[in-house]
Amino acid sequence: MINRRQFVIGGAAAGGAAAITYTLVPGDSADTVPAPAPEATALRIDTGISPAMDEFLLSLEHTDTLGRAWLAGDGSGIGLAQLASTVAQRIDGSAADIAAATATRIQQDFAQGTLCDIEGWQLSLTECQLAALRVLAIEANPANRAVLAANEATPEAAANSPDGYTVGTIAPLQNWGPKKTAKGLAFNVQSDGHCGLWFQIAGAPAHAKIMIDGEIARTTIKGKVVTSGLFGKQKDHILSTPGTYEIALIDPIRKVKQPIGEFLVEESPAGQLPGGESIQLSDCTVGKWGPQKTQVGVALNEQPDGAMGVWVYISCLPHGARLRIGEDDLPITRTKFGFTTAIPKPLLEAPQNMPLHLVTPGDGQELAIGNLLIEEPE
Amino acid sequence: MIIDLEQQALEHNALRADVCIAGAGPAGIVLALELARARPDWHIVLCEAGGTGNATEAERDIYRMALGEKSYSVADICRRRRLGGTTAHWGGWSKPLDATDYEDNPAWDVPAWPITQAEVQRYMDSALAWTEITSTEFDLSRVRDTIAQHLLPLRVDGPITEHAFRFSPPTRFGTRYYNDINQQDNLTCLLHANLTRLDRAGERITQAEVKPLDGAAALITAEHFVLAMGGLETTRHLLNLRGEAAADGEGIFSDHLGRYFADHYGPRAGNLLAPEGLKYHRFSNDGQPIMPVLTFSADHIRKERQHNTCMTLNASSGEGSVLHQYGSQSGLNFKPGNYWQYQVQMIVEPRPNPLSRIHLTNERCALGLRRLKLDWQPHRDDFDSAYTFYQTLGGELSRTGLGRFQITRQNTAEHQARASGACHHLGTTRMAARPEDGVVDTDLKVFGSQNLYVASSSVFPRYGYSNPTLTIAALSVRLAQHLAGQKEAQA
Repeated sequence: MINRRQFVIGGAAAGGAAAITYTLVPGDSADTVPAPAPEATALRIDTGISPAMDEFLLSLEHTDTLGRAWLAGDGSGIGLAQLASTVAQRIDGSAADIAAATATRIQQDFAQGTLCDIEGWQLSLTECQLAALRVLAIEANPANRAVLAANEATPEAAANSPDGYTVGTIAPLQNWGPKKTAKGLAFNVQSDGHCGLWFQIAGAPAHAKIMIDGEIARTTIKGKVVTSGLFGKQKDHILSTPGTYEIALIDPIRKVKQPIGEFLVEESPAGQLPGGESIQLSDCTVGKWGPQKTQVGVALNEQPDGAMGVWVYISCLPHGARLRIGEDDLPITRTKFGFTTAIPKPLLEAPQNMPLHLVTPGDGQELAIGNLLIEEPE
Repeated sequence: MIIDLEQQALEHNALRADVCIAGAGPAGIVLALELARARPDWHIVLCEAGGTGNATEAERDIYRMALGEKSYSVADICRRRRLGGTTAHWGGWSKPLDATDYEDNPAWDVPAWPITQAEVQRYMDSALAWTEITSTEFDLSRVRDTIAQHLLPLRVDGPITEHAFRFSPPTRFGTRYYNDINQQDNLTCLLHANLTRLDRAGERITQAEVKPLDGAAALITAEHFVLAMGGLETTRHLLNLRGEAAADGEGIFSDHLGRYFADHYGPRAGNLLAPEGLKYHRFSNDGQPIMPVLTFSADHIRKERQHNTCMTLNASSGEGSVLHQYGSQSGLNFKPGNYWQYQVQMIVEPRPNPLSRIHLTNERCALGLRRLKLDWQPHRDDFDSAYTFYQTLGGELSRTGLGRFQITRQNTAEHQARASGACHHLGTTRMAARPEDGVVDTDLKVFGSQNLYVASSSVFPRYGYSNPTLTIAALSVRLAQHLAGQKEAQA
């Protein structure tokens, strides 16, 4: 039996609600967004199963992306009450230890093959439904909106949110960068693959975010330095599409946007890369290239056959040129910006600093590109 | 002594030897030096087709081969034609074969090794010395306590277990043993000595013709001949030796010759969510590199007739994943602690497949030898077993609260077709107890021949996932002792 009630958890951390969208479940909540209130720091959940279950759901941080994914697939169209009823049949809401009861249920799911497949992850049906129930229950309470807005937001969520910001000043900007790149050229590549941007901003509030092309990006604030960047699909899109992209600092609580500038993606340096028999390697200049380091046995920028894709910007390119890595000459593919090649994985098996040269076998000319560092993980 | 035939012709263009070895990669160098040291009364000739540096374009053209339907993108880098062979680029990954690698898989067409693991193990200390591997504990259970925090707490009696790779510096045999070869009085190493012909009289090879690409041919007469030119060129020469004769006999006339070609490869099936800090990859433990890998347990391989596939893990950010920052919630049946995502890389044990083969075309190279066509056909079971392994491991993690698993690439023929090799050429002159089952006998002598041997990973009848160099070296030491008459004396 489900007892509907309002359950409030004071002071519960809300960081895990990061991925909640503003899409409402029909009939389950109001259709207006209340004004943010400074005191709105706690999420409220009321599933009607039991207070213990509601408290347990609040503890399941970092599950909301999963919950939304299940609702978009197997759980499409299900409402809060119906899902709560389903969950209540799988887990005894009156159990003295809800967490233990749930863990047991999940073990049974895996043993019995009662699974859900979310983007290839093989998960227990119970954990998928719990994550979804948490999402629905949070969305069902309008008071949660302000809490969500004040907390972490993902680019995916932001992409769906209206801009709705008032232009204003949040904190004085001193400098930022990088401000441009060329089409297809990743810049300031970080260890997880994102392209890093830095901002010198004195006094930015801890909850401030960087917005890039209308999407709120992952943002870290340490003193006067704010870091953010291009991630995932947004990175792929922006790097492949020449143009300008608005960058702003936003305060999601005050709904204030402070324009920072525009990030420029230029066309490739030359529309047609000079090449031909008359070009000498010594006439060419190497620009950026990458990846410049990897780990033993790991092919970054993996190609279909497992090799590591490498790109090199260069001002000209003689016909017949090949990339020499160590003692091997590899074929290259000419592009508008220079060339690409693929380093077979067997050449990445030992930790070393491998010199890369562009060579023209006919005349023995060499042009140094740089060293590929193959590291042994700590 | 080292003589470069491009610089200096042999007197009378001829040499007399007790043993003539064609191919100066790790197999040939180990064999030549072991043999020369064991029999100072003998003269050993070691013929290397290349020089001490990179092969020229003309030399590399000797290797050019046609391909079947499946691509082989490492074809251009997997052979070196230089002193030291492929050790010029190898990564030093080393590991003896596992116990199950020596055992028959009843589900397969052909028997496994006709000699025991213990028999090969007798020569492993020497192999480790040749490859300069100083940290020789391959039994992970004996060092597990020192790195347990980086390993999964697996069930002792479960289907999953662990093994460990060790690493050669890596030893570049061509430079590391150059002086040893040059200073060995009873060893003559000929550079730019391309093997162009083996003369046969009945069951004996009588002489070998070698020559530089532009120069006079020399004839080597010997009591024993060993082909140690790698798993493609060795088989190519045996096929050329067979000529137009039918494949209905023993040894070079066996239908097994050229079949069962395999290379190590593997799918990247997906990602694991598992406890933080796992190190199923190469890392340094007390200054010694080690690489734990996950595998099926031996019991599971035997009971379920599975392949011996291994898995490495590399941590990833998990950015963008629906399970980003997931895990550690005890209520979701996670054991306490932080959880990371790891990209999975597997190395399959290829099933010996008679349809996967190399054979000759009618095109000839500059040496007049017929060229190869590689028709690599990995067995469908390879990927099936690898995915079974992945799902078994994932199921263990899920049930025991150690994580979850994701399949990002399905087990499809298309996925398998894209996989490329690791430059390990296995199986085309397989070792067997009976001529009906292979090409060479347990002494690595070609069936039906009195004095022709093979030293190469092409003799492996079952392949495991381990890199073959260490076992190649062990077999070369064993062959040296056999030829020197010491193995039998020891027995």
